[in-house]
Amino acid sequence: MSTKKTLAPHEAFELHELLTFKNVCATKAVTMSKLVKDDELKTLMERDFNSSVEQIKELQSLLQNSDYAVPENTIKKSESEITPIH
Amino acid sequence: MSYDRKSINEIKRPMNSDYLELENADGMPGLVDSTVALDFLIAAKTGIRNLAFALTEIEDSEARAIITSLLNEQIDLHTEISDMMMQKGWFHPYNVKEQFKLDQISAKTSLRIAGLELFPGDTSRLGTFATPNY
Repeated sequence: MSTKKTLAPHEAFELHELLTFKNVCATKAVTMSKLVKDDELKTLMERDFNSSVEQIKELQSLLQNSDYAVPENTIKKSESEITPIH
Repeated sequence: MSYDRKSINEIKRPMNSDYLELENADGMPGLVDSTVALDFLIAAKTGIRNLAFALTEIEDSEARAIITSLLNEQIDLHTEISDMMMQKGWFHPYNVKEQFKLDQISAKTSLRIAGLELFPGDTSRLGTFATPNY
């Protein structure tokens, strides 16, 4: 028996939903910021994208505590890499 | 650029359906920016709600700690977006009359966009001008 408590299924589902929402938000922020002319809005969106990247990583590591988790090493490196924009 | 000097109500007007005509592109950046900002604001708001709902469902202390910090970040982001939109005149929470006027114009614009043929097969403007060789 592992000492680490795993997440209950409904907790994992909740985290999964947050992760999908964050994924869409991050993608949208980085795409839409290219269409925007206003500098203030643009920097705000780019900053949001960069913090979204961190938040997605946090959610991903949380989801590793779930019974449904796919071990990290089975996901190809190129599929899991996100590079922040500067 | 002059568009950020004008209030959005001056820029926002029912658009002309001839979007290929350069003259009708006046104020377009302002239109795009305010629409994108509004979408951003709505996404931030939905994020706050989703995180708060998740907190009511999750007991795991590590997960709760992380979600609480995400929620705080998200609330700060929402404050920043709404402050910026208010300062730029894209959002009038304290002036309902002005906000409703803006909403009406936005609704008209959306309906006009819905009615546009956005991807016509032929975007040539030949025929609009005197083109003796054709």
